[in-house]
Amino acid sequence: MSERRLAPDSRVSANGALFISVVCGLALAAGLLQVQLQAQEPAEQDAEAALSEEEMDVARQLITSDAGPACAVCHQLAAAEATGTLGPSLDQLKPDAQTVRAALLEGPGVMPEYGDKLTMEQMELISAYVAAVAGGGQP
Amino acid sequence: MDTPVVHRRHFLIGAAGVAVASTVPGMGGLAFAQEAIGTQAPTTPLPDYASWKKPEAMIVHTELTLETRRPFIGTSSVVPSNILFVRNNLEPPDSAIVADADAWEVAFEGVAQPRTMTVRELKQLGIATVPTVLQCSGNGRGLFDHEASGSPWLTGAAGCVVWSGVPLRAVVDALGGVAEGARFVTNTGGEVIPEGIDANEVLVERSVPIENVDTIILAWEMNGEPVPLAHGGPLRVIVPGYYGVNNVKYVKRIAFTEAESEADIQQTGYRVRPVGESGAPDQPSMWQMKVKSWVTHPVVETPSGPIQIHGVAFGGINPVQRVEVSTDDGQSWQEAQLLDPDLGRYAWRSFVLPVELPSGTYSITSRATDSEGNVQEQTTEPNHRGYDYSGWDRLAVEVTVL
Repeated sequence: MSERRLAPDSRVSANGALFISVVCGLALAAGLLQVQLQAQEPAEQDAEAALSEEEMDVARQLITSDAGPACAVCHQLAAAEATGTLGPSLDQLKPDAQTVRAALLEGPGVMPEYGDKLTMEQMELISAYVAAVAGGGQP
Repeated sequence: MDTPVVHRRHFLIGAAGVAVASTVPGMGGLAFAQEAIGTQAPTTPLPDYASWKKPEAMIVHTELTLETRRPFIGTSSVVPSNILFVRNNLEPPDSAIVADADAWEVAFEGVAQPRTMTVRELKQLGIATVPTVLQCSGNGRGLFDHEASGSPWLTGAAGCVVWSGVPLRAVVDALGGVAEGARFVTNTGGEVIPEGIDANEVLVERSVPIENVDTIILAWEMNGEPVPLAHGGPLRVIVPGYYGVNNVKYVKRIAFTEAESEADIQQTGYRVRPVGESGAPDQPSMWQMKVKSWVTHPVVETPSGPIQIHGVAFGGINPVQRVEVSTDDGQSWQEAQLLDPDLGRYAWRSFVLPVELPSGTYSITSRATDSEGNVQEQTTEPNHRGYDYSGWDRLAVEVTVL
């Protein structure tokens, strides 16, 4: 996974760096848990718990209008009232955070690459949010 | 005969469910092997536009990506439409477009007399029938170790089907010939792109070198029926020997252009590059397919005694010359028989090798050679997007002879 855009991006704030360290910790934990998948569900719940109400609002805002193009133009995600049908439904796909992040960075098929449109912080936020609300992390 | 040691690593890649199976007590290796090659029951329903597919034959990755389970591929060359894989880059247009297929319009540009023609008019210009292998660029993505984004296809994003339509050459001739300076045929899909997005970011528009003008057909028929919506009806561009993405569905514009399409799917998408690099126009485009084969039977287990090992092989733009089969993980090879009929250079060829194997576990794989002497590679080096795993190493199946 390329993270080449992370370091030089001045848009990553100090808060962002803190957030990224938290998310990276979670990602590391998630990686370890691939060996012990029985523990995956608690990890998803941790990811959801890691998002404050304010962060979830920011994620929803990115998904529905600010991502440029907004995720909601093409994808369905009921929790964010996203109703796009051009691409796969996130509610049906239920991706984990790593899958969302990879899709944002790589732009599979005709999906745009978001590496030069969003900060790493924003992509991590979207990934954590989507995994939490569509990825099976609901309580 | 010794029972060979087999590589299990490639069975462990892909959906989380596979790994779960391997960690749940009481579920042995056989269970995850079955799931990895797709012999277990489907868990996700078929999308409406493809509801006519045979559910037990399909792996539903997303509503836009449906894979054919490996053992469902038979030996009579043509894959039935109801088990053919589907890879749509975007949601298909409304099904009304296939209800009145003859009225579908295509704009021809970059010719002496540019104009729009209906399918009805195209049907008056000529007919050719061409069997081709349709293979998604990402076929085999699930066999790479790096977790490239996109559906983790195994072998089932491919199928050999028969197309009927008008040769592009006949259309060009009717329109006065190609404009001077054209170097590409640029084809635009008819998907409806919503507000709020720059069209070039998601537009399905692919350019192929103009040399293909003599082999391209504009197909309205597939396997003896009007092309279904799921496969690009009313009209689909067929570029024989080229990866699926170039075979634009619902084609609404065909232009002879000096430059490749400006759409992202052409400029930066479907470009082969090392892992970690961004896509760029100077990297190789996913155009011509490579020589490739794989075994489709047996794939999990089989009774001891006489066994007919069979599979499929194709050479991209070249016909298949020979296929060899190994039952010991590539240590030794035996010449397989190519089955008739030979449907031409762009089709795949079924092959068979009769063997007798005592009880044990075997790593069975195949290796094709095309008419130009190109031999199917042993392994496929990782590429960023996980395109076309063709190596016979990981295309092998682990088979238990009971």
